[in-house]
Amino acid sequence: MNVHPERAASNRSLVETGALPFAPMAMPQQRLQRRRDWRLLRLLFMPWLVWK
Amino acid sequence: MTGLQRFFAFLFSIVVAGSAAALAANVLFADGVQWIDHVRIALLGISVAWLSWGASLALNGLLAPALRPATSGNVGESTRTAVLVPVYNEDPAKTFSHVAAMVRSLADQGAADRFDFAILSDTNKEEFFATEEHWFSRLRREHGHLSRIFYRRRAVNTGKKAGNITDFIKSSGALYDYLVILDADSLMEGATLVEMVRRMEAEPRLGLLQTLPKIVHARSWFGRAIQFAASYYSPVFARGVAATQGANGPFWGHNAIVRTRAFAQSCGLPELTGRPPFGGHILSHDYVEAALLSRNGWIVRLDTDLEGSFEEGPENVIDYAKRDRRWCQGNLQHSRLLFAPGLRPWSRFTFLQGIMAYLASPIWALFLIASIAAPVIIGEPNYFPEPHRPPVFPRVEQFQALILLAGVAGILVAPKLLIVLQGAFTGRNEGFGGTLRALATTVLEIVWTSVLAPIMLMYQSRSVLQVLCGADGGWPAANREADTVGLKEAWDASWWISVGGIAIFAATLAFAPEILYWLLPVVIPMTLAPLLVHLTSWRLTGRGGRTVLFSCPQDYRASPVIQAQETILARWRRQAAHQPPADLPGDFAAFAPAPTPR
Repeated sequence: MNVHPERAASNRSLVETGALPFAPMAMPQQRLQRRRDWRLLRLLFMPWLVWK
Repeated sequence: MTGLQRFFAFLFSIVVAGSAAALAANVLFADGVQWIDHVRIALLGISVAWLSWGASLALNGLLAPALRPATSGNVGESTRTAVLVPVYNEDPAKTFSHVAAMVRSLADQGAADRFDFAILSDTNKEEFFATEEHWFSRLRREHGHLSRIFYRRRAVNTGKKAGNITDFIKSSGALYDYLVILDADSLMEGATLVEMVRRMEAEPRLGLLQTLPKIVHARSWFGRAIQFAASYYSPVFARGVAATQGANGPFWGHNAIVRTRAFAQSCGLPELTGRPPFGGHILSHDYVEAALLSRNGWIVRLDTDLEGSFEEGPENVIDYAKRDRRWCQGNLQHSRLLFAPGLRPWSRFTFLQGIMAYLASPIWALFLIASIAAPVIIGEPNYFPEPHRPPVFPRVEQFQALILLAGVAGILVAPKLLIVLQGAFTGRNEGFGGTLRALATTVLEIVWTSVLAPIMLMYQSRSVLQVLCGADGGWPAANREADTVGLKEAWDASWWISVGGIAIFAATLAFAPEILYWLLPVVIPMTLAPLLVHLTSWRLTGRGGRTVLFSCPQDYRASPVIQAQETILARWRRQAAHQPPADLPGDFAAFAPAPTPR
C-alpha cells in the first residue's frame, strides 16, 4: 500500500490489516492506433486549423 | 432483432432529417437560392438527424419487449468478487458509509463473505487522505467481520480512474472472478450485486454487465429535475440503447460488473501519441473499454431490468457544466480512435455518437448565427427580376416555417409524452404520484429543460472550442453556503452567456428583425443566465429529502441500502461532532459535521 511518507508510521496497523492481497494478473497494453496516425480530427477541423 | 432496431433507428432519423431539410428548403428558397441557404439547411439537417436519433432510441425503448436474461441458481461458494470503490479527494465519511451500507445489504443476502471491498484511493490532498485512514479503520472495525475490506492509496495517479483500476488488477486481480466497478457516490443493493454475479455465471461469454443507476439524494431544483428525468425517462431511453446496441452494449464507467479475465485481457489502455487534449491518457476510458471487450469477442450488455443501482448527480448548472467539460474532452478525444484496428463497426459508431453529443451544440449555434447573418448576406430582394415587367414579391412561407418549428419541438417533446402515455397503461405512473401528476411533472420538466437549454448550448459550444484550442475550463472558485451557488459565483461563471444573449438580441434587431420573436426563447434565458444559475441551485427538498415537485418513487419508498447509508452516515457524523478534537487525526474535525465537499 502506498501511503504518504509522513503518515507511514501511523499507518503500520492499517497495512497489516487492510492492505490489498498480492495476486498479480497480467494486463497487456492494447493497440489502438495504426502505425500511421490518420489524425482524422485535423481533417474534420481543417477550416479552423487554416484560420488559426 | 438488434438489426431490426438499428434499421428502424437509422430509417427514422434519415426520414425525419430529410423531411426537415425539404421543408427548410421550401421556406429558405422562397426568396431565391443563395449559398447561405444551403449552409443553413445542412446545419439544420444534421441537428435534426441527431435529435431524431435520440427520439428513435426512446421509441425503440417503448417498443422493446421485457428483458428476461438467463440467470444461474446461486453464486458458487468459490466465486469471488471484488467491489472496487475508486476515490479521489472525496468526503471519506460519506463514501465509506456507502461501502458500509453495501456490506450490510450483502450480509442480509447471506453473500457478504463472497464479496471483498477495495477502496482504491487516488486522493492527493492531505486534508482528505488523513481522514480517509481514520474512517477506513472505523469502517473495518464495524463491518470488517462481514466482508473483507481493503484500502490502498496510490502516490502517483497515473491514468486517473482507469489507471487506478488497472493498478488493482495488476496487483490483486488474480484472486477474483469478477470486479464490480463503482464510483465514490455509487450505491448498490446486495441483491443486485448477487444477481449480477449470477448473470455473469450464466453467460460465460459475458464480459461486462452494465446497470442503469438511478440518481438519489438530489436536493436542489436543478438536481431534482435531473433526478426525475433519470428516474422517469432514462429507463425507457436505456431500454432503447440496450435494444439497439445488443451485444455491443455501453459501459458508463461505474455500477457495472466485469469478468476479470476478460477485462485484463482486453482493456489495457495505451497512452495516445501526442499531447492532450487529443493525445496522452484516454479520458473517457469506459467507452473504449467496452469497444475493446467487443473487439475480443466478449459480450457487453446493458440489463435495464436490474433495479437497486444508484448514483448521485450534479446539484447545479456549474457542477453539471464542469462534468460536461471533462466528458466533452474525453469524447472528442475518441476521434483519434474512430479507425482503431479491429474495432466492431458499432463501436466506431458509438464513438461517433459520443462526439456528436458535443458537436451538436456548436452546430445549433452556427445555425442560429447563419440565420441572423442570412439577411445581410442575401441583401434586398430583387422585386424586378425582368425589366418592364410587373414586380415579383418573394413568397413568405410562414406556415411551413411554423410546421418545421413544431416538428423540431415535437421530436424533443413527443418521446416524453409517449412515456407518460405508456406509464398510464402499464401502471408505472403510480410510482410518480399517478398519471396526472406524472404528466404535470413532465410538462414542468419540458419547460425547465427548454429554459436551460440555451445556457447548456453555450457551455457545450465553449467546451468544444476550448478542447480544439487546448485551453482549460477556467471556472470560478466555489464558495458555497448551504450548497447554493451564490449570485457572484453564478455571475463569474456565466456573465459571458449574458453578454452573448444581449449581442444576439442586438444583432437580430439590426440585421434580421423579422426573426426576433423566433429567437426570444433563446435570447431571454441566455441574458438571464447568472440569475437562472443561481435560482436553480436553490434547495427544493424539505425535511426528510421529500418534495412535491419532481417527486420520484424513492421519495415514497426509499431503497433499503439508501436508508442504511443515510442512517450510518448520520450516526457517524453525530458521533464525530461529539468527539473531542484531540481524538481526531489530521484535519478531521473540520470534516466531521460538514456537508459533502466539492
